[in-house]
Order: sequence, then structure tokens, then C-alpha cells
Amino acid sequence: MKPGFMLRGLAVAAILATAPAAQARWELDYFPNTPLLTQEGEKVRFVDDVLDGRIAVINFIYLDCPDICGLATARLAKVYEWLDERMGEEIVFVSISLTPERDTPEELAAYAAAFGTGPGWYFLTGDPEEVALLRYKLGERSKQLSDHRSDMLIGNPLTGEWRRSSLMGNLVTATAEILALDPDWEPPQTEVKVIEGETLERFAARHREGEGLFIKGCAACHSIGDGVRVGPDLEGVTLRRDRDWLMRYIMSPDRMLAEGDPIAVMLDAAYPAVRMPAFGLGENDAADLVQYLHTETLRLEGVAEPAAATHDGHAGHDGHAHGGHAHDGHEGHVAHEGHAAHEGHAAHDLDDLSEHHH
Amino acid sequence: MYLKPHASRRRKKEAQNARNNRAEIVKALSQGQVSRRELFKWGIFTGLGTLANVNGLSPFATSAYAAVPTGVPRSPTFGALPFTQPMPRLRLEEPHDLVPRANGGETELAFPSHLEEPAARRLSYHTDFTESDGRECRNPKFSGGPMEGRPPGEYFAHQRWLEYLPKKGFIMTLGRLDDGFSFHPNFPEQDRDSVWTFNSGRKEDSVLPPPLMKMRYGEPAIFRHYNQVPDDPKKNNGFGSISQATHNHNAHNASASDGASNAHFFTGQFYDYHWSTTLARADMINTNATDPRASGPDGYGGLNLVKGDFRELQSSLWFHDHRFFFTAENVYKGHLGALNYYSGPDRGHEGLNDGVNLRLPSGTELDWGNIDFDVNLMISDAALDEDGQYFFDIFETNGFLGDLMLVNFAYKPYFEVLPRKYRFRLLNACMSRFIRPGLINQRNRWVPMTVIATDGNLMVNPVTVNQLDPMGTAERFDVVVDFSQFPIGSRIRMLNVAEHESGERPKEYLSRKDAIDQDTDDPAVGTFLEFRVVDSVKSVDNPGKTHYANDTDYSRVPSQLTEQIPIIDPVRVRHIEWKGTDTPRELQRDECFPDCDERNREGFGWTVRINGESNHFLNANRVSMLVPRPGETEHWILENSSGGWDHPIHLHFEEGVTIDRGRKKLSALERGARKDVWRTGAGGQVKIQVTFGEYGGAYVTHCHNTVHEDWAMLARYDVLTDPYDSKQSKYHVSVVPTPNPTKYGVTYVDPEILPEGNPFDRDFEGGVGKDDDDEKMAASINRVAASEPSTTRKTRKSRKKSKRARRKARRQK
Repeated sequence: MKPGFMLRGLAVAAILATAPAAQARWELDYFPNTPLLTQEGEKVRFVDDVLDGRIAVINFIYLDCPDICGLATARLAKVYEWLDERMGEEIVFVSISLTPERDTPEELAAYAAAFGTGPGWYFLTGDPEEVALLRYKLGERSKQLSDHRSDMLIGNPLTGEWRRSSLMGNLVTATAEILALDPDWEPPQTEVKVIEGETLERFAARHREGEGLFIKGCAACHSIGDGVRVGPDLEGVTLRRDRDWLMRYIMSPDRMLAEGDPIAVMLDAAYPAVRMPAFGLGENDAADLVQYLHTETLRLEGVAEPAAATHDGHAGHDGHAHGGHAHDGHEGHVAHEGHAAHEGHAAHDLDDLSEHHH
Repeated sequence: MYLKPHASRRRKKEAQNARNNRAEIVKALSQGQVSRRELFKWGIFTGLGTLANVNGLSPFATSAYAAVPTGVPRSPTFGALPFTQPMPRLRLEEPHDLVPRANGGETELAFPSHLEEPAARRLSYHTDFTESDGRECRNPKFSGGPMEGRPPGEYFAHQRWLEYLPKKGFIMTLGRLDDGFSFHPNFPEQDRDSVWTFNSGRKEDSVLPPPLMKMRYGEPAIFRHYNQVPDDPKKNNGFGSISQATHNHNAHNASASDGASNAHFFTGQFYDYHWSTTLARADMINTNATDPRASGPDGYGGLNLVKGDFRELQSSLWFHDHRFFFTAENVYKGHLGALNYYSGPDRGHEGLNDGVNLRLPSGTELDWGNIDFDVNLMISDAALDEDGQYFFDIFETNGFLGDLMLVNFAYKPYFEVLPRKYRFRLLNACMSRFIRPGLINQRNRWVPMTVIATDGNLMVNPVTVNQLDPMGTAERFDVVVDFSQFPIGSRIRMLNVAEHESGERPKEYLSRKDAIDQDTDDPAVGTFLEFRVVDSVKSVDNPGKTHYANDTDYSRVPSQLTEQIPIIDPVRVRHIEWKGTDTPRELQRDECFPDCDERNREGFGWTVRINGESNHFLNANRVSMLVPRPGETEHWILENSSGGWDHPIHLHFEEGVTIDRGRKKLSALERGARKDVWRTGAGGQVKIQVTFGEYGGAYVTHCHNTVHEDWAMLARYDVLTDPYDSKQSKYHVSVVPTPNPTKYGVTYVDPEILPEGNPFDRDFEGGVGKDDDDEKMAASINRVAASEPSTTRKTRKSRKKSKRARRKARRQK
């Protein structure tokens, strides 16, 4: 076998081949070895240097993205922390710019730094046409920016196994799915418990107004009392900001920034690499979040320390915490019977607060 | 998507050359004449990057002669002509009798002893596995996991078990394809891992065509589904997941048996689905079971009366995989089958005249469920690679289209009919393709069809049409065709006029003439099924018997089949936007930052938005998707707020009455029709009325373009049971946690609340490892459950510190 054979072959092969043969459908030859630039300005090839035989987690971002990209990156950063020393050695994260004509390595580096990324996580840009082909082949085939994906492509170039996983779902599950691409990996052997009815009540009791929303949408970038992450620590935010301002800012930070709202401008300057995303939250969601932030602040300051066994003895409080929220479908709170966490006067304080504003 | 049939000769030659070149390399590689390493070195696969793209070997590289990346070459057809093979009937699957017996405080059901099957139980065998610390009820193929994949405990126990105690048990195995199958005699045989589908009982080698199961009201069944696909996820010929879940589309079952609550199961395991045959509104209407129309055939000419509303009877259902993120590839690969539900009015017997039976075309050989003249047509599209192997592009995320039309998994077959009335049950089993069927005679004129059911729900008044409405994925139409007008020897063909350019939506519905002439680049347009009128056919209901052209046709199509469910004032209205972007709509020039370029203005799509609230992806537990009280009637407005796409929206568990399409007119087939899949149309909307009840748990509503569904176009909704109704589950009065299945067993996942509950976190103390004792585990669980704030805070802080230190150390490396 001499190289000459291959060259002859290439000379006549001007365009498309069909799908590869069955066993090799998604092996390395499927992926273009696109030349790219890392956030450090280093020139790399997609297959040779970026994948380099490692398990890959690939998502698509762009720096001007007004909503989902920052959240996705922040959530991915959590997974990155958990994977720890496996990163770089066995697993590589690849965030590819959707606007490579705009996003420079320097800007990508600032963005990456804001999320506390380290070795094994590439933020890539490059020649727009090359990047376009790469993203097409990686299944990011949207025709406009608003159609781009929120999930990630995960795969193992050595085994040819590729699939998708959600960044917006449970991150433990997503992490397990990434690790499961390693044929030698075995999931941690946590004991499987049969959940009984009693636990169901505890489960319901743990759900606090706005908590799920905070965890999904905010916690990746903001802590409450744990210091600055990607964005400011939100402990006390309900005290230092006017409620109306907070509501408006949660719902449309982009608009306030455009209007030149002084606080919005100040915040944008203080956290320049990642802009506060606009998730288009409705008023009910924003109110839930404000309530949650306030409750947490009070709790952390010991204003209202809930009873130790919160899931017990909540009967007397049934429904009391919901008075201020006239949601559509509000009857649904049957499910959260006795929101245990609202016990104590903090919840009452907040109810009063909410009612004034409703 | 596919190269045009009349693409330039040069272009075709290029493609062929690329294919040959490719084949040569693969051959050289597989025969050891050249190593992969050498290929890398020469830059053929990767080394030269761009050059390799331009030079092919890559299905989506830019063409030298076209500006945009185009599709793949057409599937080879190996000289197979249309209508040269008979259409197979779906493979009839027979159930086994189940015998109840007491076991402790539970009633379990014994299969016939020669089958050596474990009894069917209310609680999953996973419960026993867990309670015995993994010593009992192990997976025979993997001793570290349970034998049943159904999650443990009460959440996934069968609801209303004694009330709807199964009398029959179906046993089927999903496995690798048996040798000898091809989509057409001219096509190559499919590899064992190109198709994963079913066979009866414990037979691990699966067979096509897909199965048909006959069910009847009043005869609940267990569907015991064994998973015997390879346990190596790579051995899938490029698509298909080794974990699977089966959705009964769209019977009235508890969420554990709905098959879409993230409870997939693994190789070697089975999952018992309780197909309860519950008639909807059993707790509200006809609760004493006195209405003879609410009934199922008893097998002896009589009826078994059941509780519920006869207007909610269902007929043509199907079942298919519903593994999140893999649904499209799994269903395409063969995880599907048809379910015919039989009832007093829709008996499957055309001769029996008792005032309840509608006597729709079917046959007279059996007491119920005759299919001699009642034929399932499962219509799907397939793509083959250059070797003729079944192909699916897992990177095609806008919607996958095949270019070969199959009926019951046979390429463009013919079917022999007598000159009489037939009922056909059409199912669009494509992954993304819309089809719009009509019948044409030999002079290319329309042959009318009388539609009697939409998505398996009888129409109040049958409607006769020349062309059906476009069918999105999973939509069904039951039609009656009268062939008695045609002389023996006539040929009537089924024509598809829906043309696709991509999987996002149909491009156009072509005229009859253009569709017949195939004046299109979409190879799936045109005729795909031929009916041949003959003077005798063999009975399938009574093997050995022959039916003749001059036999009497007893069947009828009454002018009224059921009664209309009136539209009433709803308890609440939900507005559900599909792919609703959350961009503030009319941003003025000064309202975006830093400017109003598209990149700053776009809202994130791929989501479901409810009642104008925030995107579903942030808000899976939003109360607006709780159905808090059984029996409440709601109106749902399903809106497609994306511009250029079309989405068939599927509601699990309940059907809805179609009310309107906003300002647009409803078609004659939609007006008041009960359905479970609605096309929204590009930019359109549809309003439905739906009532929930009888069962509780987690269900979903989603886009049934399964490729879209595998992305994010899916919303979970939870139906709660009535705590004061003793018939209803007392374990589903609140939201249930989500199962997280692995081959080692199922754990339940809450929303991410605390890192202490996360086994990947360094500070997680709940692991049952070497130095962890049970006390620690219990303490950890209790802490998570009670979410004691003081402990939480301390742990968080200390963790944070150690993380910072670790990160610092990493940077210094």
C-alpha cells in the first residue's frame, strides 16, 4: 500500500461520500480536522489536538448571547468542577463560538476566566466557514442564532459513541452520562432506597417558592451568602435594592442596560465578561425569586431559623405562605402542602411584603 | 435532503466516485492493507483537515459545484421496482392467560407454568431486589442489577391493581434482528444490529414486520417487555440506545405504564407495563357501568360493561419507544407496534347486530377483533447506506427524513383486496416526515375514503374525502374504502403529496398530477402502496379459509358513530407555546444592549412556554403544569410561535376535543374531533378541551417530531390523584420524584437542591464505600431530606474553600 493509491483516490473524489460503513459510522473520520484558535490564541486542529482521543463534551456559545449561553456555561462549569482531575487528561470540554467572526481569543479568555475554567476546557473560534462546517457536522445545524442548542453533544472518539445530554436537566445525571462514555467507568454505588409515602411528604416539604427556579436559572452564577461566583452574591439583595427595581431587572436586564439604568450599568461594568442574561421570566417567576432571595437572606442572618425537623408539624401552616401569589393554576399548591420552609415569622414578613406589591 | 434524480450527470458521477473511493479505503482498511495510523499520517482522514473535507469522505462537505452543503446520496434501491412484493400483515401477538393468587398481602398473577415466567405483581421486582440488598431478583445478564427495570416502591407500583386486575399477559422481547430480513427481496439482508425489534415470548432474535396486539375493554393486560439488545452501547450500527422505554400511545394508564416518565430499562431486564384498558371518566361518568355502549366484547357474542364515558372509547393505538434523547433513533430502529382496542360499538365483527355494534368492516370469523377486512397500515420512511444497511443520522437535529417509503416495513408493497368495503388503520410512523395520503385509480382520479376515526377516536359523523389531512408523525386515520365499484384486476394506489426539503416541516402539498409524476426532489412523494382487486383472499382470522369476491359484505358505515363531547367552560386555560422564544417582542432601537443586532435580540428557542411564564427549561416543576384535581376540564391553546417550523404536538394519557385554530378554519376532519396529536402548522395554533382523571403521576406533552422531542420540546405535567377517593392511588396525591435508572438499579432524583445529595461532589457523604458506614449514609439522607439550614451552610462554605484550593493547585500545575 503506497500513498499514491490514496492520492489517486482523492483526485477523483470531489464531493460527498455516503454514510460511512456500518461499524465506523461515527468514528474519527466523520469529524473534520478543522483548524481553530483557542482562548489562549493557540492554533489547534479539532480532531488531532482538541479531541485527541479524549471523551468530549461539546456545546455552542457566543459572547453576545443575551440569554442561554452564560447559563449553559455556568452549569457546565459545575460539571467541570466535579470531574476535577479527569479534566484534560481523559475528558475535554469544547465550547465553540457561533459568531467566530466576532469572538476573539482574548474575549473568549476573559469569558472563560469568569467561569473559573481551567485545563481541558477549550473556548474555540476560527475561520467562520471552517467553524460553520464543523458545527454542521456536530449537529448544530440551526439557521439562525435563536435556534441554537441548549444541550450538549457528548462522545468518545475512541469508541465512536456519540449522544446528547441536557445541561438544563439534572447535572448529576449529565455527569454520569459523560463518565459512562468511558467503558471502564462504573457508577458510584449509592444504596438504592425504596421511597415510602412519608418521604414523599418530605420531598414536597422541601420545595420552597422560587427555590427550584433559583437553582435551575441562577445558582450556577450566583450564590446566596457564599460569595461572588460569576455574578454577585445575592445575600441581602432584597434589602439593598428596591423591590420594583429587582423585579424589573430579573425580568429584562438587557432593556434596563440599554436604557442606561445606573445600577444596571454599574453591575455590567463590575462583571464585564458575562452579561446578566434575560430569560424572559414572567412576573410570577420574578416574584417567586424575590421571595426566595429574601427568605434566604433572613434565614442566613438568623432572623428566622426554621425548626430542625422541618418536615414535621407543618400541618398548622397549611397554605399560609401562598396568600400573596395569585398564580394561574394556583390550586397546584396542594402538592406543596405545608411548605415547611416557610415556617416562622420570616415567611409571614415576606407574605406581608408580597401583598403590598401585588 | 437528497440529491435530485435529475441532478447533473457530472454531479452524480462525483457522488458515485466519492462513494467508490470511500468504499475502497474502507475495504483496504478492513483487509489490513493499510492501517488507520497510515491514513491519518497521509492526511486522508484528518491530517489535512480542510483538504479532506473538500475532497469528500465526509457526507456533508461543501460541494465543489454547490454553494451550500447538501444532503447525502439517495438510498440505493438495488433495482427494486415499486409494487413487486406483497405487503405483510403486522405480526399478530397472542397473549397468555393470567391466574390470580395470593402472596402475602398482595394479589399476584401467574403465567402458564410452562413459560417459567415470574408472576406479574403490583410492586416491581426491583423492590425485592432493593429490600434484599441486591441478593434477590437479580438481572440474569447482570447480577449487579435488578431483574425488573420498573422503579421500586409505590410510585411505580401499578395503580388500581385489583380494580383493573390483568387477565392477559403479553410477553415480548426486544432484540437483535434475526437473519434473513430485508425491506425488499432485492435489497441486501439487514445486519443483526441495524434493526432492533420484537419477537414473541423470550425469543431474543427479533423479526419484522412489527407486532399487532388486540386488546378489548374489560380485559386489562400486562405487557412484559424484555430488553435483549447488546449490552455494549457501541454495537448499534450507528444509532439506537441500549436502554429503552415503551409508551402506550395513547391509552388511559397510570404514569408508570405510560412509558414516558424517565423509567427506561436495560439489557437483561424486563418491565411490566399495566395496560389497564381503563375507559376514561370511570370515576365520573357511568360509574356503575350500566351503559351498554361503554363495554368490551365478552367473546361469546355479549358484552362486558365497564365504567366510564363511551364517547372516550379508543380504537387504533400504537406503542413505541420513549427513551428521552433517543426516541427517534430507537423507534426508527424498530421499537414499535400496533394496538387495536376493541369495544362494544367498535367490535371488530361486522355481522353481529345487537344495537350497540357499529358493524364496521372487519370480518365475521371471530367473535371480536376480525382483521380480514380491517388492515393496519404502518407507514414509515427509511434510508439506507451504500451497503443497503438501515441508516439514521444522529447528527441531524432538524428532523430526519428517509427517502424510501415503507408500509409495515416493506418497501412500496402491494396488497390484495376483495371488491368490498375495507377498513384501513393508517399510522404515520415516520420520525419527522409529514405525509398526506390519497387514493388514485388507474386513470389517476381520486378514489374517495370515508374517515371514521382520528387518532383512534371514532368520529361523531364519518366524513368522506379525496385526500386526508396532512398527517404528522404519530397521527392516525381510520378510513373505510369501498372497492366494490372496481372490477377484478383493478389497481388502486395510495399517493403521498407532502413534499419535504428538510425535516423541519413539509415544504409543500403538491397537486395530484405533480405528485404522481414525482415532479419533486423528494423521493418519498408519489405512490407507495398498491391495492389489487382480486376474486379471492385467504383469511387471516380463520387460517385455511378463503374469502371470495361474491361473499356477502355485512359491514356498514353508520352515519353516526358516537356522540359529541360538548365544549364547556373550562376550569382553567393554559396557553402552551412551542418553541416560544422569550425575546421581548417589539424591542425598539434603544432597548437592546449594546445594539439591536440579531445576536443581541434573539430569544432562546427549543423550549415550551406556559401561560406566558418563563421558559419551560427553567421551570419543569411549574405549578401551571400540575393538574391538581381529577375530573377538571381545561382548555389548552397549543401555539407554534416559531416561524418556519411545523410541529405535531402530542398529549399523553388523555385525548382532547379540537375546538378551533384561532382565526384559521378547522378542516372537516378536525371539527370537534378527539385527537392526541395536533399539527400546529407553521406559526399556527390549535385549541383543545381536555379532562384529566383516574390516574396520577408524571406525564408529558411534546412535539412528536421525535427528533425535536429528543431536543427539548417536551414538557412534563403531573396529574394528582384525589386523596379523598379511595379508588385512586394515595401515593400520587403529590408530585413524584423522577427515577434515575442505571443498570445497577433505579434511584429517585429530586430537583437539584443540595450538593450533599450529589454523589459526584467531593463532600458527598452518602456513598456506600469502603469507609462509609450505614449511619453516615442515614445521616446524610436525613440531612438532605430535612435540609437543615445551619449544617447546609457550614458544609457549603467549607466545600467552597477546598474547591478554591484545588482549583488553585490545578492552575499552578
